[in-house]
Amino acid sequence: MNEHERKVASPGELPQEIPPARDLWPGIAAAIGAADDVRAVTAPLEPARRRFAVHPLLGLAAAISCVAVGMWLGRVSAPPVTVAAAPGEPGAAPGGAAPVPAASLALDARFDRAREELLRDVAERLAALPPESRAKVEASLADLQRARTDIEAALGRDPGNALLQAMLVNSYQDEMRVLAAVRDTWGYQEDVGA
Amino acid sequence: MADGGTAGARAVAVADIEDALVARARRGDARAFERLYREHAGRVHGLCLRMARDPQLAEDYTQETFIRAWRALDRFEARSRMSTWLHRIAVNVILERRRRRDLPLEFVEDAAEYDRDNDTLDTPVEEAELEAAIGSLPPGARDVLTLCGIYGYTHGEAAAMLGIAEGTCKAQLHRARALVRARVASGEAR
Amino acid sequence: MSMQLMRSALGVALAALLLATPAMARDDRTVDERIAADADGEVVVSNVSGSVRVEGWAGKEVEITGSLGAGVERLDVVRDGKRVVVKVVLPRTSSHRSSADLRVRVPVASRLEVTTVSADSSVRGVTGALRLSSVSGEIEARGVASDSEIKTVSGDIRVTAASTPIKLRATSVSGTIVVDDLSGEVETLTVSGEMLLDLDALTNVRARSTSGDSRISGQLARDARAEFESVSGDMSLKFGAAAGFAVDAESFSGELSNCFGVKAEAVSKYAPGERLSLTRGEGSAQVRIKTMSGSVRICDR
Repeated sequence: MNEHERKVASPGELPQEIPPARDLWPGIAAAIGAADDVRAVTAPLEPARRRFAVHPLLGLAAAISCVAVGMWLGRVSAPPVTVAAAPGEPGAAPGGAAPVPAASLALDARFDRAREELLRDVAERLAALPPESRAKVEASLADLQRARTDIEAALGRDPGNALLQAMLVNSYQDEMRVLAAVRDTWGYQEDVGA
Repeated sequence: MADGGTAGARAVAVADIEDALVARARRGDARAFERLYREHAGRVHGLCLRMARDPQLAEDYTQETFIRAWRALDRFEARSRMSTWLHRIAVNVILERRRRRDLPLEFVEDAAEYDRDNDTLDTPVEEAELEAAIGSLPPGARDVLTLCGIYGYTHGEAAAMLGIAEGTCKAQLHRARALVRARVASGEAR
Repeated sequence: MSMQLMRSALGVALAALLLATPAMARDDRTVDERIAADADGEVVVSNVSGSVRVEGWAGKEVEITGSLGAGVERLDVVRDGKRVVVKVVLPRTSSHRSSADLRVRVPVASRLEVTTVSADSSVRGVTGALRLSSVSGEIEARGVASDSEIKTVSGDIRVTAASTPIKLRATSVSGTIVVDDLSGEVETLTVSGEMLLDLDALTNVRARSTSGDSRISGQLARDARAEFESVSGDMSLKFGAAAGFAVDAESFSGELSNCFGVKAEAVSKYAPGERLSLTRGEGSAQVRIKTMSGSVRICDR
């Protein structure tokens, strides 16, 4: 067969990665006491300006299409607002609603779980990719991470900044778009061999 | 900004993501640890499979490795590579279990310097055949060839992981290579 | 050690690999297939690695030529009503070293869908709607004449449109996006790739990047809407507009400059941030620009 009829001339050419035949994670999770719904330890409270480093998310499909900020923010009680424009400007929300203050971007466990699941899916697919593609994707994900960090740092200096809040929300959207693109395009690979 | 595709960019990207995951796992985030598992399971299992030769045992050892890693995360230095650290744990698990099963330790004379002989066979063979030849080696030789030949650890690193003298390691490697050559040439591996 | 023992020693996955597929050593195989197709039907091409070249032709068939690598299981070519599917099939635990190079000729008005993982693809002279996607392969499409969507993760995208107005959506994560000669509506999204858009008559344009730089030029139609956004990428924008345009640009720390002599103003005395508002001619087209730290330059054509 193809894979093992491949010729090699030294042990160094043998594959270093051989995935186990079955998923060992459930056994490991059970042994380390990781329950499904509970985070064993909550992250230490970060300083206020970084509180919105968490990522509120709705389901994937909704996240990818352009959704009102209100949906993104989950449990935020304020009505959906457009963070893009200041009140009175063209494109502002009707009624001139003010941008959502940073403090109300709250972690919703359900959204976080959705994102974690997606990250897990993508991690598996990333691992299955040829090295060069994988390298590029990881570099871009790192770019996204860096951008988000930069925006959060800037928001830390200027928390009420509507422009930055808008960019932050967009960066969450971009991350979801990227993760979904990675996951969806490789849906093809699931069919392979069928 | 970095355009992906260079080894440097990749190394930084992976390191960033991994550091973040380790930090979270240390704080008890099992999901972050699961991502680390997904990332490294193949390499750990590959090592266990070659050293243990038995898929069932290899799975047990892989699982045990990650369980111990979770408990020992505090002691993981962010600067060292996670995959190496996991391999070290895996080798410990395997050696402990072997001792428990009372396998005789091999005696190998402590060797003087060996030439830097190389790994390369005169004629390439099928992957399956080389795996079989390696699998057929006695444990000491097999361990060293796996760590040095497949996973690229130095004599010193492999010796430290296996708890043997570096000289012994070199001797085992030399022996392993000779045996593999002989077995491949004679078709004994088939 | 016997082969049997070796198989069990290497684990179920490998054993399955050895046993499940015909153990024939294969060389590359050539492909030469034809299948009847509707003049305005749909053609779907899937490949993992290698290349896919699609051309429109006057024939009433889909023709596939090329070669399949040793690791490829087979090529499926199936017609189902108005849809022809051309699919490279790999064994379950492929090593991705299995590649196929396909040249596909399709009826010129076909709708076309091409999906690859790392294979490069190019499409020419197909006038129906295109849905092209790849993970890391490059995608080139020329003569795009219908609404189309092109997506990659890391592959570069290059589109040259035909003269009819279309809607184009081109998105990538780290690939560069180049679009030439397009009229109509265009949306481009990238994280770290560059965007180089040289456009014609636009009614709607939306371009967003995280860190990639962009150079965008075009003609804005009356009442056109344009939005440009970047976190840290630089943007160079050049527009002509018969009915004029109005620009509203905001930046946190990036520089806003223009060749009309209009000065940007600080958003507030106490916080960083600049805003630039300028109007040319009637000010009919609306242009909104947002950046965090990228620099923006606005000029006319």
